[in-house]
Amino acid sequence: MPLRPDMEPGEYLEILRRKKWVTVFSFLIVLFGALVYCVLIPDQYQSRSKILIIPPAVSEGMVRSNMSLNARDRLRAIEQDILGSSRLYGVIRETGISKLGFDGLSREDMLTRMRNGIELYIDRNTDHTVNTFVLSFLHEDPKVAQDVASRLSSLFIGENIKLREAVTQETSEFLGTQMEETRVRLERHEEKIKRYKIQYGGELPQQEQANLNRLQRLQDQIKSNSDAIAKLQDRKVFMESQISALEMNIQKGGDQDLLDGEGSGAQSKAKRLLPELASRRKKLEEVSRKFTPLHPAVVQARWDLEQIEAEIATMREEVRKGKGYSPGEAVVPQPGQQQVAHARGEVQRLRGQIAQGDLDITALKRQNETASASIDEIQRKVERLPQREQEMVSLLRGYDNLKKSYDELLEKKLKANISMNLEENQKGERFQVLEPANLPSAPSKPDRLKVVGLALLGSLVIGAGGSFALEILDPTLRGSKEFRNFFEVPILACLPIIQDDKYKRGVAVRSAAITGGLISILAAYVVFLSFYGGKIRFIVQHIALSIGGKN
Amino acid sequence: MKILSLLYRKEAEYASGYTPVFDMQKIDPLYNEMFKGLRAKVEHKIDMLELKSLAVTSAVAGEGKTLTAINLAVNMANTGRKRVLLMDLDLRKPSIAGMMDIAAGPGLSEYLSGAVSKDEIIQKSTFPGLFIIPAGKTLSSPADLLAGEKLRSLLRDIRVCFDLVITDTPPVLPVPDALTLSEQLDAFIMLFRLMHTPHQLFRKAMEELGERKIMGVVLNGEEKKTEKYYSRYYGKYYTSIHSEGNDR
Repeated sequence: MPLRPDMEPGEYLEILRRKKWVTVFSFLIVLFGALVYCVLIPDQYQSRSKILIIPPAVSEGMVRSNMSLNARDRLRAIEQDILGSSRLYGVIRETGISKLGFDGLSREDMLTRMRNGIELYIDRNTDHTVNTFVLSFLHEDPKVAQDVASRLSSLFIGENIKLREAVTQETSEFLGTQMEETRVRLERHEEKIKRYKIQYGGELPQQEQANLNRLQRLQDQIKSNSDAIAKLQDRKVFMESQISALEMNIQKGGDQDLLDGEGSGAQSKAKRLLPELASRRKKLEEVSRKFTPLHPAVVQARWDLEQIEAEIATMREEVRKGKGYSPGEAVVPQPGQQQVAHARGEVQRLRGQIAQGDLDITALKRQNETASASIDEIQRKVERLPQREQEMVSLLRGYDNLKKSYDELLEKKLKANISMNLEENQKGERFQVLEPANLPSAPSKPDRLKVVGLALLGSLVIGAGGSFALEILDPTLRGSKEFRNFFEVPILACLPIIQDDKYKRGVAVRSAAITGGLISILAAYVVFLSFYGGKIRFIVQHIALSIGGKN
Repeated sequence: MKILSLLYRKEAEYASGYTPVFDMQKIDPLYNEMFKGLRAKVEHKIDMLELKSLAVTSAVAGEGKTLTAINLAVNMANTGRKRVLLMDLDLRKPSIAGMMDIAAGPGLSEYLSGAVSKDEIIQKSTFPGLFIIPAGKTLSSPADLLAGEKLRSLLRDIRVCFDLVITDTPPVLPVPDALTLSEQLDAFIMLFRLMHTPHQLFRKAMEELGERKIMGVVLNGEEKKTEKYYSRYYGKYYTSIHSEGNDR
């Protein structure tokens, strides 16, 4: 019958009553099984050794340990190492356990049994630190259990020391390697900075002010040169004007012989050409100022002047002949002509000054060009300053990081060395046997009281659970009350089971089955008790003693 | 010893495992008395609702339909107030003729096939007021015959001649015969055998028939109560009656 949520406690009890034989048989069978287990399973003795974890002799604040694992994790690591095949097999050989209880087993089976018998229990304080741990070994022979537990304790202590020393040494070596690598990188970076400074000297941020000062100086120089050039050019213009005036006078004086007296035909003609001569001279001066001497305009002007000078010279000779001078005879300078000679000398002097001035102007101009080029160069450098600044910052940052890293590694290496010395001098954390492995006087397994207790409880649970499970799985109904819970159809009658022969036969068969089952189980009990009565008595006495001892 | 003798008793003494209806009083007087109660309730309902035809059916086979139909018909006839006709409509597995110790044929199947007339199939029983139409020859697929006009016509006629027609019909779920007959009969009494039939099957059978067609349910196979009050008020009373009956 399916269970309903509104069932009364009486209905549950009724189910248990109906299925009472399920409970009874569960109880008897499970209890029998527990009894067999308790009697047939051999006794196992457990030897325990308690080990104390002694903290370092030097305070952690003074010398920090290199060990990153906490005690709990370290113990597990050591345990894994010791439980490895080779180490464990060594223990088997040393303790001779292979001849006691392990005989006939393969190597792998022996190792498995060993591992199953070893137990590591770590005591944890309320603040979750670890002070002690317990190593135990389970075996059928108490002496063997003690020997193995003792050997394992020694192994743990030895392994702890080895592990700590190995860790500190490896840490120190590792830090040393890292330090060396960092040092090499640091040196390379320094070299890089040096090359950079050489390559971009003048463009570096720290040289900005110097560049600006130089720029200012050059600009001042250009200004001063430009002023000088302007002055020289003014002076030149003035001197040229003086020269023009002097040349006019010279011309006048030079041409006096042509101008004095009544003019002959040649003299008249020469007089008429003088203005043309002056004009052509002036033109030559003008084009000479503008163009180079090879320019066609200058060449033409010079040729025109030479033509007219040649014509005037011819006429002057005719005039001199007319005045009685022989050809080539020097004419006695008259007072006007002395002035002309003076003027010629002045012109010569002025032209020399002009030439000097030109040279000065040229030099100044060249200076200005040089200065402008320098200014451009400096300005380009100044423009590149932000870029160089960024690059410099990047280089310096990389250097600073490397330096910092190196300093940190150096500090760590020193500490690691101190820690290593601490371990080598046995001043670090170590294990010490607090309670040596005991010789067990009573078996630890199986816990017969617990087994029997669990069996009793289990049998009741199975019995009751089985009863309810069977009831739930049964889709039929048992009576009118149950029917009314499922259906609302009116019940016309409840006919009882016809207790005919067939029904009675069924009841008889069921009774016979139950009786037969009970007899079989009881027979099994009797047989078992007859074979193992002595051991059962001993076990019961032991359980009674242990209960009495606990109380 | 009694148990052992029962264990080894021959099965053949009781055909098909059914208890002969005539031995019921001897075997279990309580059963008999409960049946009388059923009869009274059914009689009250058919009088109130003016029902003429009743079918006894169940969800699955083996729930006690035939025995119940027979006992109900016998009890109804025994009152002397009604002329009762008991019809075996289970043409696949007829059993009324065997249990009532009458001729198996000609029966309904012969009539529906047209071999015999209506009068030839109605038989008198040993109980006054009780007439029986056996099923006749076994048929493997009688659904068409049961749905035919001939049966409808027969049912109409016999309603006139008899006060009450009780039919033993096949179970609802395995075959469709009961559903085929549901429109032709006035009401159904459902049998539900305790500790035998899953309640889900019973629910399904009720849904197929339709609750309005179901007069009620008869629970079969209830275990005797063990509560003290029941034993005090019920058990002793019937035990004493049985003793008196045996003494008589």
